[in-house]
Amino acid sequence: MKSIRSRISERLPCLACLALCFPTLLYAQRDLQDIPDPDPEIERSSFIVADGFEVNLYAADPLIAKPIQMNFDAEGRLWVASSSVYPQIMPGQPADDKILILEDKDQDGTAETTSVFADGLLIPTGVIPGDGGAYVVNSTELLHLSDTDNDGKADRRKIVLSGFGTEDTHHLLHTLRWGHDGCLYMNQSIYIHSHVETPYGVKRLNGGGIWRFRPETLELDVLSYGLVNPWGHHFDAWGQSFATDGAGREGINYVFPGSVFVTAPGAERFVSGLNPGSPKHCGLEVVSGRHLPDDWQGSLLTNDFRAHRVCRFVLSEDGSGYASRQEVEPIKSTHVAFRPIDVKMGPDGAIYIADWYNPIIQHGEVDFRDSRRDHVHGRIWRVTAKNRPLVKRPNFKGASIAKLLDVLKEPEEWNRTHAKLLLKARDADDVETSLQSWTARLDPDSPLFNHHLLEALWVHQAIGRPNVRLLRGLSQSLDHRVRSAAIRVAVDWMVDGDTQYQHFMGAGIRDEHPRVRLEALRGLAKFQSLSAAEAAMLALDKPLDRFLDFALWQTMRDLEPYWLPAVQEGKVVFDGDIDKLAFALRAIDSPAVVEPLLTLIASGKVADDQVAGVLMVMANLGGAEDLGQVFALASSDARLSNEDKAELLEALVAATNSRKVIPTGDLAALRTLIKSSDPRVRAAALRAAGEWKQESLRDVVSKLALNTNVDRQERDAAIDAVTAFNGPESVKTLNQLSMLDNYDDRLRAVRSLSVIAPKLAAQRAVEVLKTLPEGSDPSLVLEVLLGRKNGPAELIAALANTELDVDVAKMTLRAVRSSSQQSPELIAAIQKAGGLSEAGWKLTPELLQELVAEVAASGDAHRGEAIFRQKELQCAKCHAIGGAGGRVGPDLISVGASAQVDYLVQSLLTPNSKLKENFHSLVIATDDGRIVTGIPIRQSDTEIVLRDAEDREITIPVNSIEEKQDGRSLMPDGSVDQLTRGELVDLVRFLSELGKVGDFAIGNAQVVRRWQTLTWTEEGNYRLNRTSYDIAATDDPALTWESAYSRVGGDLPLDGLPQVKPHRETPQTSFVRFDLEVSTPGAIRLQINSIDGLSLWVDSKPTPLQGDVKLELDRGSHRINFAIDRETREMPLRVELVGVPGSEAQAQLVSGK
Amino acid sequence: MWGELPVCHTGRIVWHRKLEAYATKVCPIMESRQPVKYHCGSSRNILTNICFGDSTVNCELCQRWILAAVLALFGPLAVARSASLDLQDGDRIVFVGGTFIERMQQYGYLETLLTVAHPDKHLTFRNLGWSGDTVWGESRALFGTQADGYARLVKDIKDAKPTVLILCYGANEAFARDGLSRFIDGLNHLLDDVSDTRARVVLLSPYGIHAGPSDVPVRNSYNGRLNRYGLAMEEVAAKRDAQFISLFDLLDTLPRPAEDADSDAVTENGMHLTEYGYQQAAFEIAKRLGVDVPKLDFAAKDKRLSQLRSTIQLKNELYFHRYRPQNETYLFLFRKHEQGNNAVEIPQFDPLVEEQEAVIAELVHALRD
Repeated sequence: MKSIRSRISERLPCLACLALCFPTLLYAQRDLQDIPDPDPEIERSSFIVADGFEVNLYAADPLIAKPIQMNFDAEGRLWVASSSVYPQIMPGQPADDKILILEDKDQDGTAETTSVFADGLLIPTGVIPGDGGAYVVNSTELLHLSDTDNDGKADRRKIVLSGFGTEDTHHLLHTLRWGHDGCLYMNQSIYIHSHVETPYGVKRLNGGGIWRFRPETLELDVLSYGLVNPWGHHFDAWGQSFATDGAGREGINYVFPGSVFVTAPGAERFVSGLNPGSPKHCGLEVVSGRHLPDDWQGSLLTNDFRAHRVCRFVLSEDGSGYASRQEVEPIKSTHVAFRPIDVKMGPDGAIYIADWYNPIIQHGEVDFRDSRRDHVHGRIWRVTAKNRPLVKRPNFKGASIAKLLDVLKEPEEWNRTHAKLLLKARDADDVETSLQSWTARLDPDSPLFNHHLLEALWVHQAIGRPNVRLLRGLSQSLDHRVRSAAIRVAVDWMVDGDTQYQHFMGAGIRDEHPRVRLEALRGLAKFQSLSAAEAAMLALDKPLDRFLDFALWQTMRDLEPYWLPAVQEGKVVFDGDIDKLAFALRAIDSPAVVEPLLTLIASGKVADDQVAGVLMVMANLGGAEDLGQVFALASSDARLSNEDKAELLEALVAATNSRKVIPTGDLAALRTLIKSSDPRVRAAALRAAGEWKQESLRDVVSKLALNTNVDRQERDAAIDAVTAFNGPESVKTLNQLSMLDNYDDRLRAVRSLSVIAPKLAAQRAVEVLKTLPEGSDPSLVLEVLLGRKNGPAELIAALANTELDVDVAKMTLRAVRSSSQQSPELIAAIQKAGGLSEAGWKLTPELLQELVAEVAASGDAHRGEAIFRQKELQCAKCHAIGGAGGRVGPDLISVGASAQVDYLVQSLLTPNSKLKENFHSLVIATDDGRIVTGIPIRQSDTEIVLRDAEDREITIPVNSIEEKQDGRSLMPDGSVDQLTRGELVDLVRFLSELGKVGDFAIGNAQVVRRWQTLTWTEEGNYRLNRTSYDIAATDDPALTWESAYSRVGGDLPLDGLPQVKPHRETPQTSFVRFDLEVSTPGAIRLQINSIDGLSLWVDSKPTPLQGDVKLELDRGSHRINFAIDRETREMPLRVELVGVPGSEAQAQLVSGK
Repeated sequence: MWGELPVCHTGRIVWHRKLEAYATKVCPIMESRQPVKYHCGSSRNILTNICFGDSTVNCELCQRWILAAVLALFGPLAVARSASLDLQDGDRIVFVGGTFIERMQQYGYLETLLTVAHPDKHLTFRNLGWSGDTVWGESRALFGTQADGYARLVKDIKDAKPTVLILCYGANEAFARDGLSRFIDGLNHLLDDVSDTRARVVLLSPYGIHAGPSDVPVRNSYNGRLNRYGLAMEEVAAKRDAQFISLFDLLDTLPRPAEDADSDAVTENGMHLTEYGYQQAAFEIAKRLGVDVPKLDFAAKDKRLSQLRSTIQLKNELYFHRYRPQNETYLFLFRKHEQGNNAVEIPQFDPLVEEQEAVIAELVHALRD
């Protein structure tokens, strides 16, 4: 240790001189050990390759530099988009980026020649050969470049489309892909706003999404919206789309027309991916062909570019969608510059990987001019299966139409796609004629007969010649994959106002297979009519899974202008099925639905068991008069249970809170309701009395608030009501409450006073802090006050001349630092009150350099993990690792593989200097005096949803926003102040190992990582004492659970788990539980490391435990509980979800906080 | 009401599935159920819809026919408010609009012509075209609201310090049905909001588009609306004493290359101009602006001319990086805490632009000598 320090300090003087001349050089030197030797063989030898495969170098620098996208042409040449200007052109720097063509003429698997096809480009992020040249993305434009004089250089430049955004150069239009349908698909990322003029109008796409473009007709549409960085997109053999995300964390995403994913601007609902908790991915190829082993056919390959891995996923059908499971990586590496970003099948049936080769990958987080950014290297790797013959390259030169059609029978998607592109270039009449005889000659007994016909249908689509007869035949295929694809084609052939294709949707929506219904739903969304909406609703006659539910919801929104007017006119729609109507009305979430619903209720057409649901829609959406009607019914209607009544009252109060609507009409029934026999109704009615300012009930409410004999829940409601009444009387009552001799009441008094009397609240808060009971959290005391506009100022005043206990002051500091408003004056006031020094880490360049060196030399990742898991640090409260943990900050699953050590140190010590994409906070001041800080997760015209530092989703109506500005990192300053230097070094070492090959990479196993554990409370212990352990396997409200997380390695250490001992004779016991979501029912197995000391409950039922557990599970959520006898078991608990051979079951572990 | 439809019976019949369906259903003049198929001898066909009073004429005609009829009935469309674009010494000419304007900067023909036509006037040019843009600044909003986009449009214009402002809007706005009055309001609003630049204003009308390659169905009546938008712009220009130039017939007036007279050499796709189209359009627009158009031959291997034009192209590229830099999110917006330090580079393009402008001034003098 000492020697390293001294070595560094010896180097310091000379580095400091250098720094004076070359400030960026110092920066570059800091992590010099991470700049590897660029010899490709050194890189190759670092690869750990999947069994049965090998990797060779196809091409490398200086022949290519910085490959961004690659695609093969029909002649087997590889086209590469390459940029050295990225990330940002310098003033005076020429834009000289290139499109390169690599060729392996002797077909030995190594490219011998590289030629420059085009230069003078500005950050070309996509290239794909086609239509006699190549399509190239050139920042704002999609170009078509061609070589008319055959000298190998582009000499004709056509601007095909323009108007793509450039707000971020790693988000530029990218991922060009030819579809099975002859369309060009293109993706853009979250920060891009595009405005493209076509003869059909201006096509605008704000945010991420996948475009679908037909160059022949210039038709340009959006296939799907959202995803942060959809850097991978490919089709399976049946034309279904899948996408990966270079910043989202859900692995493979199933994409269908009109699907909306995370971050799509204005969206209220998202479709989630198939592998939650995954690292970021780049590139995607669905592999196929005779060179690869059978079990690889249809696998999805993508790249975890941060952790230097090429990943493989295997799909299986799951309802209307798919389930995806990760398999052993084709390649993993420890080489820090190995950055696989694109993956494609080649003409020989091998897999090609584009390696961007760069130790630095961050776009925004590392200075654009950081000299560690590599601008000159790049590789293409070729992965082949050992001892398997390569595919003979198809020779398309001079091929007849008939021969090209025959290629459509081949198993290689590569061959089929190129054949279709070539057919598109031929005379459409000739192709159409040949297709007829080709389909007629197909062998109906071939197992691939249907697929061949589907390819023929796609050729019709590609050449723009509809064939309704063939379409009709395929829409009745026995194979649901063909029927699904046929519907997609029918939608494409549909012409405005022409309904002949609607009957395909009509049949599809009744189909027995959920995916066909899904396609039909999204197709119906294009038919602008009431009858299309009514047909879509037939989907509700069969079970909905999550994709279908989204599709139906979205379709009802798309078709709103065609069915809502009919409802408003009082027509009977959806066959008078109230379930269907309620679904549709809920989908559009508009006040326009309230009146028709009222009419329905009044006419008695609503079935008894649906009244509550309909009233709930009205409560959520209605105006003051509507709410009055709901209240009248909720307080009197005999069809409603107490639970219904309570829920409705709660919804009405929520409407008052969020939309400031108070029910009109007679509210006298509240007096009866606050005396209801049901405690939840009483509580809801009390809150309503306050929110609606029913002064005649004030006395009753105030008395309840101060009566310590009344049940806690009811008193809390009364206290809330007193607060809502507001005014001097309320202040008086709450002040009385703050004088009571118990912490719980004083805490509540402070929180309530914070809203209506901040000055008094601050004084009382300081008094509470001075006598804070052991184990209590000051953030609860201060939370509300700190979220008020003048809260911090009042608190500073109240803290003057006050002394706080050192530990309380420290905890208070933490509370302030994680609050919405981090006032430096307040921090100083607390430090003064607690006699704390201003110590803490002061990050200087020297300290940073020293810490970076110490992390490498002496940091211990295992000790670091223990520090990460310390409760006091609260890391997991905000950060998940592999999906287990909070979602406030980025998932750290592969942070070590992507971030440099200096970046990690800076992120910990000065969090605000480093902010990840998608983790930018907003500070919103509302018209009721609140200050809310959080990460925006959804935004529509009417509301913004923020995720705050407590991982809560806060909905803010747009019309209540007074001021909105960009905020700082939600990670509090000083988070690691209490760590020793050694601990800090260990913690950074741990973070720096996350995702790298070794102990801290999350493997492919489905291990339970997110647990809940029963905490000890008096109430809970009493409950267990009076009942049995079985109660711990239920949702009993007396029990309090908190989160616990497995270590990165997958086991849950028992140390630190809370223990209970409800009876003298029972052993010390810990209770833990986890949830799983089954999407396709069937058998699954739980593999447990040891059953010693364990008892098991499955869905609250005691279940015998002998070795592994095999479970038959239905669709839906399931809960697994364990009791752990702590006196017999010390070994950590590890539970893995594994498949059962022959079972179709699909289950996912529920992740999150 | 237009008495008799001028129909040309010669030439080959043009067929389009989608158009046929439309014309059969809608055309009130042709009461027969036969599809309307006309042709006048050229292969350039436009589906045009022009409104006269309450009646709509829908037919597939070549542009020249319709215009000829319109001219005959109503007199010339292009009435310039002032005889010519009277350029002054030191004028800063700023172009604003959508794709048509945006792509001009890559080719530089019009700028070259205007520069050469006024060698002593020390003219400078700024191109603020942005694909998909409208008088409401819809393409300039980035992460903001439409109001932010509009504010950016106004700021872009003011920052460019125009003394002559050449606006070409209307083509994107005209996709909306019944959007004319909103467009005219927006145009007036924009002109009011930049009036403190005191720039002389020239309004260019949008041009009618061709059907394009392989059956691109031009939206029904789109060209008709374009024509009406142009006429309304002319009224705006008259009221504001601005110059108005109609480009409605632009695509049809541009000469085709002699060796390839029948091809659509002037557009990429029936809508956006090719480089050749921009070259020819430059002459036509300069003429309509009232400029004494120099006889330049871009096809000839005139080194000085090509050097001038390539310098103008380079200057435009540098200015593009200045006014619309990449990575704005990191340099100026909500991630500026990460790369805001590099925002200093962006104004460094200013001297580079000026440097090229000095070269342009030298070259234009050399060209005159």
